[in-house]
Order: sequence, then structure tokens, then C-alpha cells
Amino acid sequence: MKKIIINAFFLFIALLSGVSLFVLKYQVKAEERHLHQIHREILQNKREIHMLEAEWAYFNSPARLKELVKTQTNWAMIEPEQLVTLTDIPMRPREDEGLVEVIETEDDKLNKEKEQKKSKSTQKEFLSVSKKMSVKAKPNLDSLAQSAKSVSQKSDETKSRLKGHSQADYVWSNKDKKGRKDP
Amino acid sequence: MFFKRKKEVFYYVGMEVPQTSMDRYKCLDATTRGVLEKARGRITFVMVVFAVCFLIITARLFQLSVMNYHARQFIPSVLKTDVDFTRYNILDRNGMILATSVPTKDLSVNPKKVKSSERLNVARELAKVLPDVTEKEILEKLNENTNFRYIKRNITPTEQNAINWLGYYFLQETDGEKRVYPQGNLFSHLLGRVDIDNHGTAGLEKAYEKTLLQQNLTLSLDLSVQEIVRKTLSEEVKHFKADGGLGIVMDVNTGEILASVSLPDYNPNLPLDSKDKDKLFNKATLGAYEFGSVFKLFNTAMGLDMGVIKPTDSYDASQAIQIGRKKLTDWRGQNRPLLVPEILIHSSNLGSVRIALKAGYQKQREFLKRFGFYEPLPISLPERTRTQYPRSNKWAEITSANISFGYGISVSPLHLISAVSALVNGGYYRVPTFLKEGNKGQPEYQVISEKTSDIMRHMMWGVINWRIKPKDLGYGYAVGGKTGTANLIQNGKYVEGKSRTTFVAAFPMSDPKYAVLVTLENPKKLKETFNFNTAGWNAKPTGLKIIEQIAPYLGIAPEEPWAQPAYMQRAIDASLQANKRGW
Repeated sequence: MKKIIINAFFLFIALLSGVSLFVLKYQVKAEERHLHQIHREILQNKREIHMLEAEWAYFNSPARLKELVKTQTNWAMIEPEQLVTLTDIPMRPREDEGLVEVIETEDDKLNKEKEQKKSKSTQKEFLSVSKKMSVKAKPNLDSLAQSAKSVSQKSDETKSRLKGHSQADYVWSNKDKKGRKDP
Repeated sequence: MFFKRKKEVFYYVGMEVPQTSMDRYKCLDATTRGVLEKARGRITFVMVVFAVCFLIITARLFQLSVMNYHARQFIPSVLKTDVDFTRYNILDRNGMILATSVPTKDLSVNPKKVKSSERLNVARELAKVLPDVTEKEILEKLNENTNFRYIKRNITPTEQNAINWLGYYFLQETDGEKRVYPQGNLFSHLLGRVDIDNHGTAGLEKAYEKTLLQQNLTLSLDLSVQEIVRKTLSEEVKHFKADGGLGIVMDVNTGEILASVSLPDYNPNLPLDSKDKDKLFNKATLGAYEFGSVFKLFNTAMGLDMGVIKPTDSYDASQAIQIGRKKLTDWRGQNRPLLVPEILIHSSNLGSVRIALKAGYQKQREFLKRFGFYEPLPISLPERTRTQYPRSNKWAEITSANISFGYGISVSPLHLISAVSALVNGGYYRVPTFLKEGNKGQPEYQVISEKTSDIMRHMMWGVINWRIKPKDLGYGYAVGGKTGTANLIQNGKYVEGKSRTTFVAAFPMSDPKYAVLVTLENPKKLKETFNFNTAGWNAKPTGLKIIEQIAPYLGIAPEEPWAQPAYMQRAIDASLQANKRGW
């Protein structure tokens, strides 16, 4: 009896291992197939992305884009005058200006007086800064003014050369080809 | 339960007692009993061992297959997940692709499998499908006594489809790879080329062969800036009917090259012709030229940095200088004493020579050495030139005089723009690099003092802007620079009427960020240039046009008029007074 039971037990173990192996084998095969398929798809997708990146680079060539902008839009190149810095943007006015009655306390009055005193002392500086901020700067050399006066009459040639020149004369403008200056 | 003791059976008198194996065992003699015992023991031992192993294996199998199914991790086999190209991409500083590899198919044949009676027909059919290969070439390959021969590398998908429709079993298609340059002519000289097996043969493709096999290569070049420079240069070369031109844009603070164009150029996607030899020449790195008056910048900087001259000094430019048999004069000279800034403003040979002779050839030679003018540039490109300069230890006076206004010394355009960058950026020389952040961590060499650099910036500004009225000095880019015109050399002699014109500039001069160099080869005299072909009429307007377009793109905002020191104002006043123009 004991032997029968032991034999039965080991037979059961053998059957169990056989079944497990069978199941494991087909599971592994299925998983490997799935894995290979995914890898193939990844490779294919990467190849397609690579080709698309190459095409993207070709279609984004500046020469092609310039032609498209010219034919499809009415955009123009950025002019130097259009570039500003943050400091050029004026401060935003206070939202409650003119809407709310401001009640001044004694501290506010004292602070206001202090600010007024400060502003008087820096007024000159402010004026000079505001002058600088204006687009056209005044000549600040007497010698230059004198030499300007000494040139009493401009020739026609000089007039035609200066015609059309704007404040952006630092940089040669490609718009006005006629009025080229001497080197 | 399994190990329950057997019940003892009670036997009545006369009952038959069944003989058990133990009874039979007891009947045996001692020797036989001993042998049986041994055998039983051995069998039992082996059984136990097998049973234990079997139990272990079964338990593990059960664990793997049933219990840990979801937690199972596969050991991946050798599966490629990366794209199987041998060569990586070359990118510009913003990540745009300049060179890439695309998968293709190579058509090959096994000639031994082709019957001799079929060969002519096969060659004819293939020639119809492959326009680049002739019937004769295909037939030659089919007649060879070999197992493998390429018919055409990198066939297009259309050709591949047509070949498949032919249905010849002896034709094979193997995976190939083709190097493609999406930007066409734009970077042809810099990127270089690869051979049929995708090994670099020129340019950056050759210089970074090993890097490109492992990773992408990011350059310092900017696609948009390169396009602007090339387009403007092409238009102006055509306008001035020049033989060629070049344009370089460089970051003065890092040494990075943003653009480098050499015209004429070629399309690296197309096969080369024997007539394309000139187009392959990269003027920016391979050419060594005399730049003429541009070298007056270095002559003046030498005088200032070595304490030989001051910005307020004055030198006579009215009398010609006789050195040996040679008489040196100015072209359209001022014929008066000139202040040091005026020597640059009016590009006076006489003033420059006097400065050079005052300094002496030793100081001059040592100063030029600081800018690396005597050695090839330590750049990665294989195409780089040796400079030409007087090799003797002692320079004659005439040599020193010639070099002061840019003759007698030939350097590459890249040498020149690197040196000018050092003049304007506070005096620090940085080796030019084509790689993004290529100079990071590299040492910088101070070649002139910051004070000298400051003076040079003001003087260069004066060269460009001395004629503009102060009230017209509004918001703009403070550009400073210098022009230079040098006669071309043919058969060892200077040719009158043919010149190479150069304009080198930096902006914004108040705090320089970028330097620009433009050179035109043999620009013609035009009616609109009043029959002049000097640099001020062609190279300078070209350079200013380029600056006007790239400055907004590079985020350089216009600024207020740049205040000039007293010595500059004095020099400008004197020039205006003497010339009485523009006012």
C-alpha cells in the first residue's frame, strides 16, 4: 500500500512536470513571437521616423521656406527698427488710477514730500536721460557745429546722395541702391 | 496514516500461516542475505537521489510556469532596436539635419548563374530600367567569371520595383546606405563627401569619421545664417561679375563659426564632374591670400600695444617714402599729416609704413606671431593651408613696409577673421571651431591688452561711420571694420586691374558679438561704382547687407549712438574738415 501511494505520488509529480513543461514551452514561444514582432515594428517605425526627419530637413531648407513665404504670405524680413529690448517698453499704468479715491495718511504725505525732494535733485539727470531716449540725439560738440556751418552750400550731388537716408544709416540699406556713398 | 503499524494477526491452531517475504528471507543463508541487503541499500539510495532531483525540478517548473507567470522576465536575445545605419547625422547648432544616411538597396548579380544565351537580353532589359548604367557596362559584368558583382549601388524604389517585375532569379538586392545632404549646396565645402562605402573622404565627414560611427555630430554652424550669407554673396558676386567670393561669420567670444561660404560651390548629392575641380576648393580654409589694407589693423594695434604710438600721434602722409628702389605712396592720398585713427580711416600706406618702421621688424614679427599667422590653424578640417611669410630671421625694411599694408604675407581667411575677433573682444585669441561649444574648457590667449582692444574698436567704428552726421546717429548697429584691396597674383606677378577685395567687420562695436569677413575675387568696375573696383565699392556693401540681415536674426537689438572718445572726435573733425564731404 505504501508502495502504491509512493508510486502514485511520483507518477503525479511526473505528470505535473510534463504538463508544466508543455504549458511553459508554448507560452515562451508565443511570448518570443510577440517580442520579435514588437521589435520589428519598433525598427520599422524608427526607420520611418529617420526618413521623415530627413524629409523634414529638406522641406525646411531656408531657400525653400523663403520662396513659400514670398508666394504664400505677405510677410517681410524683420527690420532692425522692429527689435526692442525690455527696457524700451513703458511701465504699465496702475489699474486703480482715477477709479478709487486715495486717502492720504500723514505717513503718505511725509513720503510724498521726500519723493518730491528727491525728484527735484534728479530732475536734471532725468531730463538728460529723456533726451538720450529720444530718437534723434543733438550734436554735443561745438567743433562739429562750427564745421557744419562752414559748409555753406550743399552740391546737387551731395543732396541726391543724402536723399532717402534715414536714421538707420549705420547699416547700408539695400533698398536704396542709387544713393550709394563713397567708400 | 501511511505509516500505520500493521496489526498483529492472531493465528488459531491448525491455521495456515502465509509465507511472507520476510520468512523466505529468513530461510536464506547469511552470505546471500548480505548481498541482498547491499543491493537493496544501493537501489534505495539511487531512488532517493532521483526522487529528490525530480522533486526539485518539478517544483521549480511549477513555480516558473504557474506561479510566477506575470513576473517572468525574458532575457532578450540579440535583437536590434536601433536603426541599422553605419553613419550618424551631422546637425547644425539648432539641431537641423545637414547630413544623414538613408536605407537603400544595392543591385547585384551572380554572373555564373546567367546563361550565356540570356546575357544580352538581360543586359538590354536592365539598361531600360537603370538609366545610369549602359547596356555595355552590364554585359561586361555579366560576362565575368565570378559569383558576385554589383550592377548598381543605391537603386531607387521605382527601379527596385521595375527590377522585381523582370523576375530574374540571379539578381539580388542587398541592403545599402546612401549619404544624403538635404541642404544641397549650402554646406558643401564644410561637410565634405563620402565614398561609395560611406567612408569620409573630405571635410568634416573625414575629420570626424570615428565620431560619426558612434553618435550625431553637432556643429557650430547656423543654417539660417549660412543661407543669408550664401544668398547675399551669390547675388553680389553676380552683380559685380566677380570670379568668386567667400563669407565667414564668427562668434568673437567663443570662436564658433556660424557660417562659412565659399563660391563657387557644388551639390554634394550629385556625382562630381571633372570640370568641378574649382568648385571643390574651399577658399575659407585652403586659400592663402594677401589681404592688403586690412592688415593695417594689426599694424596699428602693434604700435598701440607695444607702446610705439599713441592714438593722438600724428604721422606725415604727404611725402612718398623711398626704400631702396621702391617708392611708396598712397592711393588717392590725403597729402597731409594724419592722426593715427585717420591712418585707418583713409587707409594710408605712408602712415602705416612709418608706424612699422618706427616699431622695427622684430616687434612686428613677434606681434604677428601672437595671432598664429605663421602656422596652419589647429582646426579639425583636413583642408587647411600653410601660410606664407618671410621666413628669414631678419626682415628687410621693404619687407616690413610691405607687411604693414598687407603685402608679403599670405594667410587664410579663417586666420584673418580669428585675428580680427581677438582685436575687438578684449584681446583674447580663440581658435576657430566648427563644433558647438568646441572651445569649452579650452584656454584662451591674451594677445593684446584690453585698452588696445578698446582703442581698436573705436578706430574701426570710425572707419565705417566717420562721414555720418552726428544728428543722424540714431538707433542702429554700431558696425566697425576695415576694407582691403590687393592685386591678384598670376604666374608670380601682380596683375593690374585684377584684385581681391576684402571687408572685415564686427558688431555691435560697443560690445562685439560677431565678426563678418567678405572677400570678392576679381570684381569688375561698373558704371554705378564710378569705374572703381576697390573694396569700398563691392566688398563693404556686401558685408553691410549681410550684417543688416543676420543681426535681427541673431537677436542683436539696435542701440543708441556709441559715444566716441576725444581722440576719435578730433580725428573725425580733422578728416571732415579736410575732405568737406557729406555736410
